[in-house]
Order: sequence, then structure tokens, then C-alpha cells
Amino acid sequence: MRYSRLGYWGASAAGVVLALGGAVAVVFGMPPGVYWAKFAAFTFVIIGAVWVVLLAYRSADEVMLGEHKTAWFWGGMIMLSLVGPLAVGIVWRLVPMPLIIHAMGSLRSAFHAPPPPAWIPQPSQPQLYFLEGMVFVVIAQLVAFLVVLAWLRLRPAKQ
Amino acid sequence: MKNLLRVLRAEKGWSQAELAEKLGVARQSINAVETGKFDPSLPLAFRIARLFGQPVESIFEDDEA
Repeated sequence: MRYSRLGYWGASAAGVVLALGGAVAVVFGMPPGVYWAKFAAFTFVIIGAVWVVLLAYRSADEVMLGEHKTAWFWGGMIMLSLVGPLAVGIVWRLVPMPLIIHAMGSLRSAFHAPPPPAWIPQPSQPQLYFLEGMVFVVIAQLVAFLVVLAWLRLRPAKQ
Repeated sequence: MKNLLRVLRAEKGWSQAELAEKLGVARQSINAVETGKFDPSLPLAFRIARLFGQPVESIFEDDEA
């Protein structure tokens, strides 16, 4: 595999733009109703974005791939080892629920997401907490990945 | 693993970017190998050896040897 700066960074940026832009276009641009059509369009956007990111993967060299694998492994594992016990603690009521609800409320108010279009039914509270839990885990792992990646690149030289 | 990549590159008068271009890797990857942060795969090590016209073992040295 031969490194290509344009291939790597270009395809990475295109994948992110396609995923985010496509999601926004599906949610805000498509007419109300016909949920299956929206679901299909959103799935198509995500598959397309993954395919584009795979192009970026093929343009990376072995050092970059090695760094990414290490960062995902350690970042993902460390954050899962923190989030996992937290999840168990919540389920077993070891963590006070008012504390969790307060924390989630703070997180919600920190991110001023635009209100969804009216045609999207309001999620129930269990659905909302499930979605927020998923997003929280993904973001937590992404942050840990970036921290480990930064450490890999900034650590002192060995020779 | 220690290596003499920085020395060999300096002897040729190449920049990290030029060496990276010849090997088909990113400049940051050359820096990572030179500073010992990353040990290259065997295929990349052999490409480096071929480029400098030297055997692999004269460029890369095992820490435990």
C-alpha cells in the first residue's frame, strides 16, 4: 500500500462530509412521511461514507495504520473499562439517579442541537436515554482514541 | 529496535519528505521510524535496505542483541 496524502486526507474529509451532510439532508431535506424511504436513504448515506473512509484507509501507510490500531485498542479499552462499571453501577442503583439525571441535563444543555423537524415523532424517555447512552459511549471512546493518538505522536523519541 | 536511518538519510542529503516520497510513506512515518517510535514491517525494512543498498541487519539493530 502506497501512501497518498490527497487520498488519505481527501477521502477522510469526504467521508465525514458525506456522513454529516447526508444525515442532515435526509433529516431536514426529505418530505414528511415515508419513513422506510428515509431509513433507506440514511442507510445508503452511511454505507457510502464507510466506503469512502475505506478508500482513506487504503491510502494510509503502515505507521498510520499501526498508530490507529493502537489508539483504538487502548483508547477504546480504557474508556470501556471506565464506562462499563458506570453502566453496571447505574443498573444496580449504586450510582444515585439524581446525579445521572443532573449530568445528562447538563450535557443536553451544553450541546444546543437544532430542534428536529416536526415530522419526527418525539422519542419516549427510555428511547431518549438509550440514544444518549449510545452517543455518550461513542464520544467517550472517540475522545480516548484521540488522547492516545496524540500521546503516540508526541511521546519522546526512543533514540 | 535501533536504526541508522537518520544517519544514512543525512549521508544521501535527503530530507525526510524526500525519503518518504521514495519509500511511498508519509513524512511523519519516516520521523516515527527514525526516532524509534515505530518499528517498520519487514517489507518496509527491506525497501529501506534496498534503497540504501545495504543489508537490513546493518540498518536495524535489535535492542536485545
